[in-house]
Amino acid sequence: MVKYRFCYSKYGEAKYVSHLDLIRLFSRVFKRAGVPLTYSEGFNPHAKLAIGLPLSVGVTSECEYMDVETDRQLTKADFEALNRNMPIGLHFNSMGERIVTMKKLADICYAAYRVTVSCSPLSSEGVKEFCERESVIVEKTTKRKTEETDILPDIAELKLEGVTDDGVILYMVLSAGPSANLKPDLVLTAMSQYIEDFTVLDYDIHRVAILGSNGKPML
Amino acid sequence: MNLDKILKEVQKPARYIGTEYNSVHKDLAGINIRFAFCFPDVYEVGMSHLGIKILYHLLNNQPDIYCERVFAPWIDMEEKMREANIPLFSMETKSDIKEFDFVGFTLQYEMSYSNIINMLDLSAIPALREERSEDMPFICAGGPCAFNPEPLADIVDFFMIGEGEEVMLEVMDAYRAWKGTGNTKVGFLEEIAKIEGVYVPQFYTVTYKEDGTIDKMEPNREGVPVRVKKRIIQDMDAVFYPDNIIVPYMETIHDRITLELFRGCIRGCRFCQAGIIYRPVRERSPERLLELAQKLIDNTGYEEISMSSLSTSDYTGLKELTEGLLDLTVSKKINLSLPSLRIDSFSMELMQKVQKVRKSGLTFAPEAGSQRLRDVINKGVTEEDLLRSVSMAFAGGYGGVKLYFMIGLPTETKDDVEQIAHLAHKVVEAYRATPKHLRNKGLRVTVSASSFVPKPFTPFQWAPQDDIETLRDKQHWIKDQIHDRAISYNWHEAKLSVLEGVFARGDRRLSRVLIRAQKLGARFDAWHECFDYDLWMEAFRQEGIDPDFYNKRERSYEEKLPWEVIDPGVTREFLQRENERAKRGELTKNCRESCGGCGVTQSWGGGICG
Repeated sequence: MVKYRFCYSKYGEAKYVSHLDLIRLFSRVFKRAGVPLTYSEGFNPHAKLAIGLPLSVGVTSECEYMDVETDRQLTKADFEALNRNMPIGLHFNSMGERIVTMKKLADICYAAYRVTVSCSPLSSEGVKEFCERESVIVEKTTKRKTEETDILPDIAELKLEGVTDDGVILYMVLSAGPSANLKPDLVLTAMSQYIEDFTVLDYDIHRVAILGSNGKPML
Repeated sequence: MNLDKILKEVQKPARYIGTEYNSVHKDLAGINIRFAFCFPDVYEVGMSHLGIKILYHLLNNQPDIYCERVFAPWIDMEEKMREANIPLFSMETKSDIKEFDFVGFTLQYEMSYSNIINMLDLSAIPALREERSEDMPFICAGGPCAFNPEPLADIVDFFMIGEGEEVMLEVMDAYRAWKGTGNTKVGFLEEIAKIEGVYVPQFYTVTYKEDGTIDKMEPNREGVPVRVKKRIIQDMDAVFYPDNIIVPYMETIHDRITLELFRGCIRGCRFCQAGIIYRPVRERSPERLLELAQKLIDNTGYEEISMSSLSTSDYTGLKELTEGLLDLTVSKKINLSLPSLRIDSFSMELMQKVQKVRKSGLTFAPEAGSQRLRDVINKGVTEEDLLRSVSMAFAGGYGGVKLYFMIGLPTETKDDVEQIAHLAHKVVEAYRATPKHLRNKGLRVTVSASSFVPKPFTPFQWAPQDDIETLRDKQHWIKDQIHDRAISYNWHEAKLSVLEGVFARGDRRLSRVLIRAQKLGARFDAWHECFDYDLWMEAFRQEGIDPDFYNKRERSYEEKLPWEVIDPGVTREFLQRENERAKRGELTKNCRESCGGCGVTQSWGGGICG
């Protein structure tokens, strides 16, 4: 049994594939490629395959992580075979054996996003003022309840990266992972709430990076 | 069109993306014929259907044809599409279906008909054929419900009756010859009406008697057959079968490899339309099936493979096939599932082999509660058969048993209905009689009672259908007799079954009712959250048609039936004879024991069935 970490990207229409569907999809990709995943013992065996940080439906990414266990050592040919067996819109970027020093996926702390927003005009100053507020209180709805939270501590970085014909491009680094998780959608909601005359019409979210507690990529 | 924006706002957006593994993507520049294969229900239902998998790849194997899939958008998506003026689009290229040469619908159940009208409406294609212009696509249809094409006769340009693998390609050949000639659409239809299996409803004129029944139904021009004979595939090993089926992103109803073992059925259950229209029995060889299984496993990565046929356990090579399949699947952690096992041929050995991989629940279909009624419907199964089978299953550790029944069968009495509940209790007793160390800790007996709908080309095609009140009474008689918490009981909406009955045996006057119902808002009638019976009754009222005409009366043997413009190969004499035997409670042997003389072998040059 050998442990591997894969970095993959998800783009185009594949962004509408949900997290659960993606797990089933990957186990089929491995089957098609003839790369034997290790299965759990027991009544209902399942492939040892885990995705680091679920990606919301509708969001594209160039840096998702998945850990797997395989029955044997993998080669470059295996890696290529896996990519040949991926559907349109999904692609493995790299693969690495998980050695002891590699951080666990549970160590994920931050995610960086590039958000293309179609909106009313927005200036760098507006964004800066927003970041310099004492708090950014928004209503956060979870499965159980709706509560007011301050999301500012979970915004590690937020900047205006560019201006387009009908809006702006924002870059944001947000808390991610098991302990704290902030979604870019909520940041946009907060911005339209606290920045005067700022209204969002539509947006596309793209995940640029997933980072560990040391601020470095996971592979 | 801004599809991306609305996909973010709907449930299950994966229903609408067309890039699944093994989906076909072609450059439109090299395409001569565009075929929109439409399934009139949502993606996860349509993608579970075997026919679409076969015909999609069959057509796409032709370099100049591009077949794309189209499904009915769910109501949330439909709303967004109508708001944003997005027409009904194909999965692969997201093209408006109006841009295709053919828009073809598969007719799997009558209650999907309103979706057909709604799907056409989304692309502003008039449902009524006479309102469509020369530049619009041909609307065609096939599938089991096409055996009574008449309710869609004013809507569909042509039907392909029976198995599609050959006839579809013949129609495509005719289209290549016609395209670019400048000839009219009717000219093309006249050409393909000569192809066996093609039915063009506008070439037939129907006149009615004063009592509303059909007086005459005759061709209104030269070169059109009086009856359209269904198509069948003679050699199941030679016929095309896809080895690279699409692997959906989202979970579908049947999310697995389907191996079609054979077509037809040796059993002659008198309520069953499939058992008649798919005759004669034609098997694939175990060698061919194992070859296909191997390729499908390699090409899809699926974790489950299922053997599919009308009565899988009647397959003559079942032992060889299952052993071969287990060799292919066990080491790869692939499940093997066995649907529609008959309880009289249920094999403990087979069950235990499959169990090596996974132990799922078992389903039995006694169909009727009493022996008397099971004899009427020619379900050659006894109570002893059933109890022996479930006892074996319980001793093998199975705890879940599903029992399927029908209510409303011809000649049914209160006693027959109550016997359904009694049989379920006997199954519970069989569990309690199983030694504790062998049996499963939990027991779940699920009794499911659907309402019988008389179907064309069955011995019961002349029978009246129970009305809503009678069906409801019968549903309650069963409920009142169930006194065990291990038994759960469910039944079908009687109103839906009655409406299904109208369209199953309807004639072409119903086309306008369908169009009216869609205008009033009907769609997804098979989904209880969308079905609105009162709306349908309003549509009948507005069109001046009495639905009771179609299902409440007993038809006489003298009556000309609308679907008899189709020839399924089985004779009317046989159906009539079987109906009379049913009334006397006489069993008819299965086709392997003794030929019942249904006529199907004469239709295709003799020979022995199955």
